[in-house]
Amino acid sequence: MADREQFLANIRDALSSSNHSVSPAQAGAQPPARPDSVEKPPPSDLLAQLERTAALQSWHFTRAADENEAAASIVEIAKEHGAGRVVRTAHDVLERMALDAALTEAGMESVLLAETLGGLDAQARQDTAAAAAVGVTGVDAVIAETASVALVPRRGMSRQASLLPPVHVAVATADQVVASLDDVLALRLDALAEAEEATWYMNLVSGPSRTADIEQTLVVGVHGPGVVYLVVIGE
Amino acid sequence: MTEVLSARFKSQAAEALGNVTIQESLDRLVNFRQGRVDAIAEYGQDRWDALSDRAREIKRDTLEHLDEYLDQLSRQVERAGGHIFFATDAQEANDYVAKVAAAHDVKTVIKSKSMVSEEMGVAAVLESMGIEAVETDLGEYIIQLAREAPYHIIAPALHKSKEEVSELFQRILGTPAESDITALAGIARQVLREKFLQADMGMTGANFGVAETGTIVMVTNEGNGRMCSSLPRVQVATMGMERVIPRLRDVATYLPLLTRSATGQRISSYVSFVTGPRRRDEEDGPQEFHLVILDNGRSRMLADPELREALYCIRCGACLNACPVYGKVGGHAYGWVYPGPIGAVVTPSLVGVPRAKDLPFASTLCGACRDVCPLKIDIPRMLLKLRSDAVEGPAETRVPRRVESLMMRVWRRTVAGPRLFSLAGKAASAAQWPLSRRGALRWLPPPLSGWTRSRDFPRAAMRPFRARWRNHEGRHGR
Amino acid sequence: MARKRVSLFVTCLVDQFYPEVGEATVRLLRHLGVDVDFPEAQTCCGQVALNGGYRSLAASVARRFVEVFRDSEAIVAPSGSCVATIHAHYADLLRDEPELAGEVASLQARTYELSQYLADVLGVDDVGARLPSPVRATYHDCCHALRDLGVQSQPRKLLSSVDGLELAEMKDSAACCGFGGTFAVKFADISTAILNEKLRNVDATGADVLTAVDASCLMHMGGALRRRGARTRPLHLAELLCEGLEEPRS
Repeated sequence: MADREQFLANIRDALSSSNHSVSPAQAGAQPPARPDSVEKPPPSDLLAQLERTAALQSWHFTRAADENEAAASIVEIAKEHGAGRVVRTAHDVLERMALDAALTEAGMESVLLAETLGGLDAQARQDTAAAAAVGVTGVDAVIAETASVALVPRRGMSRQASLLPPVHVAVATADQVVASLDDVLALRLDALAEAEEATWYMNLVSGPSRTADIEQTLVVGVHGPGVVYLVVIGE
Repeated sequence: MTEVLSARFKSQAAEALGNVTIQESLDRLVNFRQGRVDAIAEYGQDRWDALSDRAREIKRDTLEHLDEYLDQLSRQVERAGGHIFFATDAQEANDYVAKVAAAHDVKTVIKSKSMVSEEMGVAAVLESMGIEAVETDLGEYIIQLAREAPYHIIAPALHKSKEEVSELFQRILGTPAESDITALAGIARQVLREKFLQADMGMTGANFGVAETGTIVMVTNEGNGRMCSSLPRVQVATMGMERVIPRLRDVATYLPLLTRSATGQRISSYVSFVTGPRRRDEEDGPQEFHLVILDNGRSRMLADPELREALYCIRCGACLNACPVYGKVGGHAYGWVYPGPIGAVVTPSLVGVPRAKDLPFASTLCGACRDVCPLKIDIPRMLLKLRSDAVEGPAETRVPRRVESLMMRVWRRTVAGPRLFSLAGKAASAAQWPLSRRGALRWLPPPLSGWTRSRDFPRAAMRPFRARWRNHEGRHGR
Repeated sequence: MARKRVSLFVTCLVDQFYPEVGEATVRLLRHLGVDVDFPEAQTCCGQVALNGGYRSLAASVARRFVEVFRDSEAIVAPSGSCVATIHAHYADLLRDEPELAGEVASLQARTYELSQYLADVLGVDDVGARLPSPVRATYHDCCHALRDLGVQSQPRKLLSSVDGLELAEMKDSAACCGFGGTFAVKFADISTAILNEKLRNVDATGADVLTAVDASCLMHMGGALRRRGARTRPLHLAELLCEGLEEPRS
């Protein structure tokens, strides 16, 4: 069995036996210029761009003036998909809009998919998510260029809410929209610098689950949600 | 390690050429080609070129300091609570995965697509232990049911028609015949959903391993990669050692190149960043995370200045789509895990030239692969290098070719000066006279007979150019 | 203004099989006021050996080439792939002889594929050709001319300016014809499958003439056209342009 030192020593041997080129003194000493550091467009342009790319990425895109309007949209979406039960995460934005109350009022059940807050154990969480018709989550950021939402799971924010139900509704606020992937990664590095733990997980979701593995014919919803909504609140 | 059948390139290629279903499926590669062109146009050619240059530059630096970056990656994975294992070869990697599975009393493993795990042949190893190992990418699932190797890096079941998939599902899953592709995908969804919910262990690949943060990045479209990295108790990720990138923000350089080159997508549906197991305050995710980093011959490529560049590859598959040869013979002809132009470089490099002796020669050297490669890897140049290894390299890379080398020795004398060159031309011209009809040859003896099966061969000129020149210009002077 | 002078590198294939391409090249250059010489010591560029894996042999041929054309002002060849061998591989082949590095670089800078020389060096888009009867021609982008030398617009400009010539672009003109040197013999069936697709695209244009800047690709495609008794004639760019020049030729 190769341990780390042996494995890396073997690589050093390979590198020194090659007269490929003269190495700079230190790894990554001169990171090459970043071609994508363009000027940041104003927020209104980002929203307009997002609206375009969201359609291209097969999101159902909705703008809402405020939380109430967003809650009403989500209720409509849930109704449309015949949801008896909706699972959701504990994102602030969903708390602020009193989503549970809105769904209950419309005759549906809203379940917080959490052990730490909602008291569901692991098996119950998985069963509930797998049986739900709709999953609603907040997001950590939205990328305008690719219509990608960034989800960083943590306390109260299960990975499964956006994965197991056939419909996913992602709710963002306008100030969460950034221009590019690089912006999201930079935000992530900032967050890490402050965090106590080095451990993290993040998903970028950029539309429905899709495959073209049979005769290159597009099918959506093969494993993840086949129908996805992006609701953006505010200007 | 997955069995190497590359020595049978010719017969495997012949099979594909004679198979109508396969030829039809290969014609569909035009969708990938067009998708890529459109995606780059949308992104902007100048911006694309700049990104490409930057990606090359980062790879150059990464490989020059590969030991340092791998060291950093492994320490960061450990810092995030993950386990790391360095495997010299496929066997070591398989043994480790088997050990982890045994330690957790694993019954079912769900796998997302990973070329390295194909290289290892890990699914077969797990099955030999009585563990069910299920491929969950739709294409991989189909070829696993058919017990075949992936046909294409991005589209493993590219060669299967929907009728063949339906027949496969009927035979193995006992489902009714189905001609609708959405419904076929629905059957797989249903079967695999159960596996996702009951599996104890998830195996994934890693498109990138970020040294700075200890993160592996997985790019998928179906969501199976998210399942594999979220639902089971244990996640084991495998990656080739060259897939490390220095900084988290470098993902922003490579991801657009990968998805736009591969399928023409702006971005894949899901990009997952996995840094260790679940956090202490998380609702779900694996309790244990393992990263297996595999060499399996890569350090030999690293040591070779003429092959190192092949380690820049991000496995987008664009070279397969552009290659005239792949476009006719498909993936299985190449006889191992990596098909197409990059496979013709990687396979002989990893398994040795003699075990894949035809691959470096099975190319017209047209350069279309290099043109579309987002990392601008000079594949034709590396094929030439592997050819010269086969012909005049050290004993372990050489492939005997008696007749040809005799011919080349004669040719050497011939081209060494104009006198013999003219003489040889005259001799050849005279020799072919009896074979020719109205200025062309319809038949040539072996080893040249392949040419004349479908093409006439021109007859050498009665008076070559140099004779005409001498005759004409000699009289007038210059 | 000093007259330009070029040394013709005729290439082994043209010398032995298609001497008329060499003659057309000379005629075209002279028609445009260029002096042409032919270093008779020349043989081959080494591409055959290089592609076959005989690198050391290719290196000795390359060394010879450097010597033969040492004193040439400019070198012109009616073949994209031979010129590409010089441009893309000579530095590599002769890397063990650093004393030649300067000479190789200078040789590369002075060596041109014919259409490159006409369009880029002489600045000629129109050679003044007028075809006796209208011709519909389609142009095949030879892989090495296109990808190693960037030859794409030059032959098209030259063809478009010919009086009586209609240029009909084929689908996927940049797709390989399946030749690849010994590939066409070693993997004859794969080569033929690629070739068939190419010729389907040629056929679809209804062209009278299939033209290109490499005799080798034309030998390959032309061999199949001939076998099928096709109406389309394979014709090197130099020959096609010459067909429209005023007689007499000598």
